[in-house]
Amino acid sequence: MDRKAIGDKIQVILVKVLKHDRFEMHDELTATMVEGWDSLTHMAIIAEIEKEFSVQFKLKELNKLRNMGTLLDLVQSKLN
Amino acid sequence: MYFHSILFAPFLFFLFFVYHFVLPKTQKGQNLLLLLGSLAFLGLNDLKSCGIILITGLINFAAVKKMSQLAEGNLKKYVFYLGCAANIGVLGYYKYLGTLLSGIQSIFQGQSTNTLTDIIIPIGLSFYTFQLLAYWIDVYNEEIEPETNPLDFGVFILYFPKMLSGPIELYQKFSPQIKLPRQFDTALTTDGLRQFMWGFFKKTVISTHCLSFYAIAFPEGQTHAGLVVLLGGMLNIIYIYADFSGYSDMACGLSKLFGIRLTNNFASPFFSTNISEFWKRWHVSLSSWIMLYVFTPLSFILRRHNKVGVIVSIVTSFVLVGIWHGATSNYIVFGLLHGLFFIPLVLRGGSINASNSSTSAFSSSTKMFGTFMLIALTSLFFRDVPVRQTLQEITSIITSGQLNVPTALFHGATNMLYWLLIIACFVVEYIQRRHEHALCIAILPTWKRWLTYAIVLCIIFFFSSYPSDHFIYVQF
Repeated sequence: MDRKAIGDKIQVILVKVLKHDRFEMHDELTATMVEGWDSLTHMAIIAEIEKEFSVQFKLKELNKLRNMGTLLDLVQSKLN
Repeated sequence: MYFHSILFAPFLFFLFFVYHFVLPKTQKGQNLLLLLGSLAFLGLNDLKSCGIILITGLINFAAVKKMSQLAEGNLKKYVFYLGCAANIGVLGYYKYLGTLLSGIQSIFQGQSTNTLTDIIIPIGLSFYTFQLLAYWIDVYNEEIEPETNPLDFGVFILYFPKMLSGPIELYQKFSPQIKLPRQFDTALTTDGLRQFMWGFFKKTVISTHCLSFYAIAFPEGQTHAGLVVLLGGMLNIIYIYADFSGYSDMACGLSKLFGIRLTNNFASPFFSTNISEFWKRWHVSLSSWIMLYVFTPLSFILRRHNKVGVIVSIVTSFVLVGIWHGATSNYIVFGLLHGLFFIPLVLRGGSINASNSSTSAFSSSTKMFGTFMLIALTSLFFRDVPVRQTLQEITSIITSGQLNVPTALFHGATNMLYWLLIIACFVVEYIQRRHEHALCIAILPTWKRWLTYAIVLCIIFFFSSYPSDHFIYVQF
């Protein structure tokens, strides 16, 4: 699956969990830039991503995420 | 010898002068002086603490280095668990064992004869242990490389501005600052002095007068009822804030004199509109620690349980915050309540509403007041009184219908002046809430800056008092 398709699916998940679409997807997007994406909602987003792509993350991998670009790379690496 | 004691001034002056103007500007020389100064500071406060911390520090240094050299596998995992358990064990022995044993003895024998309650906890042990635990975890997870220089490691764990009551510093944030020689920086030094001055003002003026008002409103040994409980809670939390944030401002300010920035522990917490925002602004170094090393792993494990998983993680984290303060039921209830306060936020979907820009000023003010009252009332669990009594007192605000506020609190020009000073302190903090500290006034014209210094110094000179020589959080 290419990065664009992964990004689109993650965008749908963010809208579903955060209940708004007031953000634009790009590689430099971070959680602090998205209203409501905080520590209380973060793991719900992660769980949805795991379910959507049928992948499993390790906490170590999540701790290394810096922005949307690194999340897309991580998901892509799990799918390949 | 605390930051606001007379003895500390010549100690600080000597260290500052030698550090910047006598020693050659080498990293090794500066770190050696900081280590010796810190050992002297700790030794003058409590020689036994100094010994315990030095010995455990050296063991931790060697053990973490050894662990990092092991190959991935069970042995490395066991060494890691053993290291963490040993640090928690030392903290448990000094901080919790006495309380737990007397609790058990009281249950079975009706009274406690346990002498372990007399054990005195080494200064700063809770803060020191949390720093070391974070260091163990981060090295184990390969987030950081272990420190190889015992001198730099010594400065990391013993650095005197953060030794008494934090901030709890992470190695990866603190260490890069001591890896290069530090030059004298006029702007940073001046800013440090301003922050120290504001902390000194909060500790010696605001905190001490709040404490005396609190003693009038809430005399010890009595059960209180009615509106006075509300007032007692407010005075208690303002006292705790002024004392601890005063200490933290002094610690951060002092550290800037040596070219090292510490974590700002407070960011105008009383202007928070919900409990989540409050904990992002109150005792920031502890709440960030709990977030990184307790809440995140726990919520990761429970991520498939949706909101229930988040609630369990948050309540567990806050119970731990309570236990960090002490093993008594008071602190556990304090932590539990704060964890439970998060439930509406979790059910509603995070802090979306808090950051909604369309929220009116009136609505924000109401939320700020509501949050402040929740914090104020739960602060009553910090007292050395049974939980049941505190719960009765809080319930009585609604049930008793008494409007009993001691009028002595508002008698006389002096008391009114102290109230004005308390209000003025928070007005200044509100105006400066987006800055690192309340006296971030570098952009003001020179005369306005000097006028500010003169006013603050005059207030300290005329209105400071020393009913207690310690900081509240030193006991934790």
